[in-house]
Amino acid sequence: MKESLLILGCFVLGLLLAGAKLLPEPLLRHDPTMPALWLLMGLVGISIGADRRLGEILRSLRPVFLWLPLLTMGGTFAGSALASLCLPYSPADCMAVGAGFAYYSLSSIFIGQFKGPELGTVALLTNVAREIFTLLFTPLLVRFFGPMSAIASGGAAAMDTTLPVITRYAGRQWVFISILNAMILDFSVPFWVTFFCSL
Amino acid sequence: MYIAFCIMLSGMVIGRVLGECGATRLLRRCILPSIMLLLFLLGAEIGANRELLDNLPVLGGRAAWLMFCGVAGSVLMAALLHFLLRGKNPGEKGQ
Repeated sequence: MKESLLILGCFVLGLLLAGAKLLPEPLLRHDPTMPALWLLMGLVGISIGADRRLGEILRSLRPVFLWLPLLTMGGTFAGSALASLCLPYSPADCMAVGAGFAYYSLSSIFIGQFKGPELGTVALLTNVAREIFTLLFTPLLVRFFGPMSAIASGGAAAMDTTLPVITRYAGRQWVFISILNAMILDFSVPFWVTFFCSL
Repeated sequence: MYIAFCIMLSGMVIGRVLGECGATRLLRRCILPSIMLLLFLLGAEIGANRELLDNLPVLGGRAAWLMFCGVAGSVLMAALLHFLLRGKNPGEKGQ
């Protein structure tokens, strides 16, 4: 939660400084987000490649639980596409936003690059809201919809920020499934977002 | 957009080759500062756009609706899986 607020704080700081015209003009004119995005993608790639946990987790789990990330993706895309009926965005744009699965930093930057700052902002707010919603409503989700619903709601954040609250209310036996689900979603974010942005 | 993909895939190969070592742990720690930098720049891009700045409350409402629909869809699908597995836990047999 602290980390999320820190990241959100950086966004707000950039917003305020640029709004007050306190940032140098060349910084905004030459779009410095692209090289910064490349740097982040390289770091994320190295982080995933160096992580040996995925193989271990996959070996220790029953295949039936691999349905959870697939259903999380399917449900999120279906819900996002339905949401587009009431919004001035296309179903593909809404599914691109949903495909962030609470991985707000990467998804908002990707969408901002490919679809413009407006949809990038909506993606950031949507995915931050998803993480906060999971942190606040996990006890109710577990009670009324079962432990897997909290893991699905947490999305890619279910292996870091929302993992403690999921573990507490769903039980420790769900930790590996939560991490596996989040890792698969985390890995899929750039692929899905790019795919929906290109439609 | 494919450049970013290729960079990530190259990073994965490098990470796989290096494995868990001091260098990869150090690079992992650089992810948060680079995210902060990117979000700062994204905020600056929006802050410099007066029209977008004025529409921020509207965009927040749209984001809340999108979040609700996306989460509702995934929660319902997970509840369906929970029902099909008859509420069994990962440690239980007979699945």
